[in-house]
Amino acid sequence: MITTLEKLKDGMEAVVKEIHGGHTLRQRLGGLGVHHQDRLKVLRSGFFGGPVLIEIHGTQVGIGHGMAQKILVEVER
Amino acid sequence: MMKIALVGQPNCGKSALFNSVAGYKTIVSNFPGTTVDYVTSPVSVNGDSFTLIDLPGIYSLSTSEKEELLARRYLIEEKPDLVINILDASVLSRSLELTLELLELKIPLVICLNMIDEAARKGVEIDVEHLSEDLGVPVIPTIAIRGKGVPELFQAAIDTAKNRKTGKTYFLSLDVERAISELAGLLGVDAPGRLGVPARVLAIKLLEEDEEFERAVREIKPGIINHVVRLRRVLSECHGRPSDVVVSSERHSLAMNLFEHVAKVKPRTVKPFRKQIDNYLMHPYLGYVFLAAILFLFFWLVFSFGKHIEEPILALFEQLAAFLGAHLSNESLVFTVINGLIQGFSGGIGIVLPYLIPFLLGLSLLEDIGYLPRAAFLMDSIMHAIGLHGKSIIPFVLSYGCNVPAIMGVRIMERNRDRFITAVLVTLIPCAARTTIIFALVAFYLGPTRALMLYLLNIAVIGAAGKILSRFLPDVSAGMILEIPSYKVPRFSSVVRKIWFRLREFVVIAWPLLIVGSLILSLLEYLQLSGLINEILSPFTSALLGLPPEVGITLIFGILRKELTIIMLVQALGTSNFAAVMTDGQMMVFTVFSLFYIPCLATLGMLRSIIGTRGMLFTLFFNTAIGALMALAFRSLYSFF
Repeated sequence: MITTLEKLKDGMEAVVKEIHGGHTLRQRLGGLGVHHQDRLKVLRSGFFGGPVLIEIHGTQVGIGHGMAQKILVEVER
Repeated sequence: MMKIALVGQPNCGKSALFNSVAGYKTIVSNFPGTTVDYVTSPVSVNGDSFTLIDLPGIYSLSTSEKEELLARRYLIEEKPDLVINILDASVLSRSLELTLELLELKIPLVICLNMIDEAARKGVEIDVEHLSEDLGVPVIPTIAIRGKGVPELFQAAIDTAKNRKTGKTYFLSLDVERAISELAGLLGVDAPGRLGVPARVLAIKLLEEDEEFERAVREIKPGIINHVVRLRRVLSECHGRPSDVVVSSERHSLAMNLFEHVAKVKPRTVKPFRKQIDNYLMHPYLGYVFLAAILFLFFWLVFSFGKHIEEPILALFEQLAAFLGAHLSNESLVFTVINGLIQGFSGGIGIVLPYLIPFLLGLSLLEDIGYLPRAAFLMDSIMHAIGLHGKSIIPFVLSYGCNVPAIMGVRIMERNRDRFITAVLVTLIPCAARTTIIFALVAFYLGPTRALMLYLLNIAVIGAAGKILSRFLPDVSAGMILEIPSYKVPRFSSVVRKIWFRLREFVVIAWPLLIVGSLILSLLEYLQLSGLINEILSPFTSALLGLPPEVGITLIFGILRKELTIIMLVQALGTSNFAAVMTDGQMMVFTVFSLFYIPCLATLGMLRSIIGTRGMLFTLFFNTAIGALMALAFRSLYSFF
């Protein structure tokens, strides 16, 4: 199932499929280790417009709600 | 002297490494024309001396962040003799991406594999020799915060700087390399030479849509841009993704391969204790309860501790002044000067010892433990409402105690824009001294409800001011992306060093201002100029705001130290029963204006050091304008009743 990052629930794992929203956002995410085809796990979901907390490559990254909406992910069963 | 630069991603322990060798000659400098700073220190290891430069933390050399661009520009333009690339060994695969970019710059390089203990705790075992072979540069494992491996690291750095050894170049996939070499050939030697980077780096960065390099090349060699655009299109058509993604993904997978080649990860079954803390501190609801409790406790500890110490200290200085007054003639110029100096000096002590040290201790602890990014995460959506970032909550809360440490605290934010807006807004918050004005005039004479209303109004004004400022300085960042590092046990030496550095800043910048300001005010009194000042200010104070003209001088004293406002008001009006000489409206108008207008001298000094002279002047006018507008609004409001 393909959806956007902010919709995932706590504990769900997914693979990054696409990052919308331009060059700057991709660079910023890339610097923190978030790339196309990377696996991530949601530690705290972005409910009520709050940021999403993910674990990726062994680090924790907080991503603002608006940015999370631009990250397309495929949920793993 | 030889120059060695420290480069690493944020939270890699770069500052801990710097601090473990930097001496008392450490200098904080600004990048030309900016308020972004970097730190340098002369260091000498086994008879070799060099200048060590601690650059701002950078995630990548492909960036549009101002601070990261400045660090990159430093590497390219200043050409350090060697770069020590610090890697957080516990997040090796991600850290290696920056290393690959640094290798391409062909500056002699040494890898500091830091936090090797943290990696072991995570179950990551790294084959250091293998990594060194793969990269072609020395790799030294360290635990910088305990000084472990640091002598070996600097010895390797000096040796490598002397033999000018650069590491291997990594090749990307064939079609990308083809595009790179075609572009590098077209660029020739002139453009890369003038920009100070190898042709290969310039070609890669152009394919990555790097704005800064593109702008530079457009000026030097405009004809090449068509080729750049064509090659980018070729890459993106072949891969079905934008060309910058093609290049960065390749670098990413190279780093992943390297990581798999040199590291073994043992799966861990037990969830570490440090991660479990976050079940509470980052909980969707409980997290906020803990955040409020931690901030309240922090605030309360700092200011209850401060009060107990401040009073005896100030009493001591008052005795000294009284003693001098008894021995020197109370009216003499010598006494005036000495008394002014003592006032300024004790004012400094009255801020530093009781408030600044406990505040800096608390802030350093929260920072070193790793709680600050978590607070920022929790507060992010709320602070966004006024165009700010979650981290700004810390200076805001502390500002209710004293604006000075709060302004120092804006350094925890990375972006200049966020620092600027937060620093300006923080000065609008009523500190402990301004609280005394609210209490003495409004709460006492007009009732606590009105005082509470003033606090709420203050928050609303700050919100509105934040909105206005962020309209003029829009948030260009794409929103919050924030690394949440794992919790760490703070080290005593690191905390002490941080306190010392920040304290030194206050002593050098704000204290002299307090002393000079006190001296000037003493002289004003001696020369009996208060009448003249009241007269000069009267068009504003009495004509515009409808206040008794005698209050003019108290506002001037208030700029020196807000605590003096009420004391001077008693003196100026000749009574402490304010209601007898001022109407309700006048008391309200005076309080409102005092609440917002020019921040105190110490705050102005700190502002100047952090957001620059222009930023300080802006704050001065901005706050005074808000103060005047609000005071006028209250004057007309009270004229109806």
